[in-house]
Amino acid sequence: MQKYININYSLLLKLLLAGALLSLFLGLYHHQALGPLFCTSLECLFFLSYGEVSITEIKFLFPLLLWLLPQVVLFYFIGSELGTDLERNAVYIFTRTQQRKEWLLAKSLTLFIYILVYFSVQFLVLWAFAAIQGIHLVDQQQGLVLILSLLSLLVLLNVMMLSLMNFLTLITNHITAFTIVFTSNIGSLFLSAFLYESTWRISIIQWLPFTQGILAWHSTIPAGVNPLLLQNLSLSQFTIPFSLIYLVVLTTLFVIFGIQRIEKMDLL
Amino acid sequence: MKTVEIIHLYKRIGKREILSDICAELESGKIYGFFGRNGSGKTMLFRAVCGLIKPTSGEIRIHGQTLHKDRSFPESVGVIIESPGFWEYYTGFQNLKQLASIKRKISDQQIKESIQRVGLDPEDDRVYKKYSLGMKQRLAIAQAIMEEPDLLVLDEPTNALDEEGVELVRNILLEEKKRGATILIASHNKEDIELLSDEKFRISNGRLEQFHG
Repeated sequence: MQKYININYSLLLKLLLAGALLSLFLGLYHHQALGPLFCTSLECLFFLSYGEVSITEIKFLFPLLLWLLPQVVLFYFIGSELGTDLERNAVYIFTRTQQRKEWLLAKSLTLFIYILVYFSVQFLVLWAFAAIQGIHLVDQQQGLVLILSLLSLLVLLNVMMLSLMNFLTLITNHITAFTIVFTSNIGSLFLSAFLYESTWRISIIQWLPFTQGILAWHSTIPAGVNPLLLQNLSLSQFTIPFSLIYLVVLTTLFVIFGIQRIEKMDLL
Repeated sequence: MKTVEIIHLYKRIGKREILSDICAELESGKIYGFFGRNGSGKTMLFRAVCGLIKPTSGEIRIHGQTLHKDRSFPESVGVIIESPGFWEYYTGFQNLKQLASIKRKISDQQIKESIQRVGLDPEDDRVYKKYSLGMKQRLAIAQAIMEEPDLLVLDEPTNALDEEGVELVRNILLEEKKRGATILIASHNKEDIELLSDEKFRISNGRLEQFHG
C-alpha cells in the first residue's frame, strides 16, 4: 500500500499556509470575545475558535460561516483529490496492478494525513498566538484533554466528510459530490437548530453525522471553560467517545462503499 | 503466435452500444492500426483490451487468459490512452520510478534508458508540470515501453510531437515490433497507420472491419 501513497508537498504547503492564516483569523476574532465572556483561558480560546457553534444563532448565519470556514478550505483543496488522481493515473496504475483496494486505502490514508496536518498546524499557530497574548491553560491536564478532544473531533469529522465527498466522485462529478456533502452539512445544522428551538425530538441531533464535530453540543463539560458558554442540549448520551466511535464507524462504511465501487467500476 | 483474441465483444453504456460484435485475432511481432472518427469506439476498444472496462458480453483473451475471469488486466502491457497523466509535482524520472515501483521489474538504470530512448534527459530536474506537450507525450511513450511489455496499446502516440519526435516514435515502434511485441495503435495521422501497420482496421459506430486499402 505504501507505494501508492503520494504526498503532494506543494499541496501540503498550501494547506499549511491556509491553516495558519485561518487560525490567526479565528484567534484574533475570538480573542476579542474572551474578556466580555469572563473566560480568558487558553481552553476558552480553543473552545470558541474550534468547538462552538451557538445552536440558537445558526439562523443568523455568521456563527455557521465561522464554523464552516476551515471545512470549505479543505473542500477546496482536497475535495476531489481521489477523483482527479483516478482520472489522471488510473490507466497507468491499473494496467500494472489489480490492487484497486490497496490504492483506495492509500488515498484515504493520504487524505487523513493532509487533514491531520491541516488542523494540527492551526492548533499550533493558535497556541503560539495565545502565548504571545499571555493566554495560558488553567488546568494543564484537563486543558490538554480538551484540546486533544477538539482536534480528534475535527479531524475525524473532516475525514468522514472528505471521504464521502471523494468517494462520491467515483459515481458522479466533483461539483455534484461537493454540493451533496455541503448541503447535507448545512442542512443538518439547520435541522438541529430547528429541533432545538421547537424542543421536538432533540435526541435526533446526536445521531446526525455532521453535528458530531461540535464539542459544545456534547454532554461532557470541559474544564477551564465557563459553563455559561455551553449549550444546554441535555443530550446525556452525546459524549465525545460516542462521536469518535460514530465518526470512525461511518468513515469505515464509506471506505467499504468506495472499495466496492472501485473494484467493480469501469475506468473510463 | 496469437496474443490477443477478441471474441464477439459488446460494450453498452446506458442505452448506447459503444462496441458491437467485435471479433479480431492479433499476433505478436505485428503492428495493428486502428482508425475511425472521433467517438467511433477506438479508445473504448483499447480500454477493453487493457482490462479497464468490463465487456457487456463477449470475451477478450490475452495469451489464452480471459480478462475479468482469469485475470483483470493483461500481465504485460504498456499503455497510452488519451492525454498522458502523471504526477505534476514529480520530475519525469520520479514519475516513471513511481510507476515502475508497482511491478518492481526494472532498475533505475532501465528507467533512465527508456527516458533517453524517447529523447528526454533523465537527469532533467524540471517537474512534469513544466514539461511542454511534446515532452509529456514522449514521457508517456517511455512509460509504455519501459517494462518491455508483450502488448503495446497506444492511442494517438504521435500526438503533440514535432517532426523529429514523430520519426523517433515510429522508429521505436518498429524496434518494439522487432522485439516481438504486439502493437495496437490508433491515430488520426493516416501516415502513421500507413507506414507502420501490418494490418489495418476501421472502426465505425462501434463496429470493427478489416481495411485493405
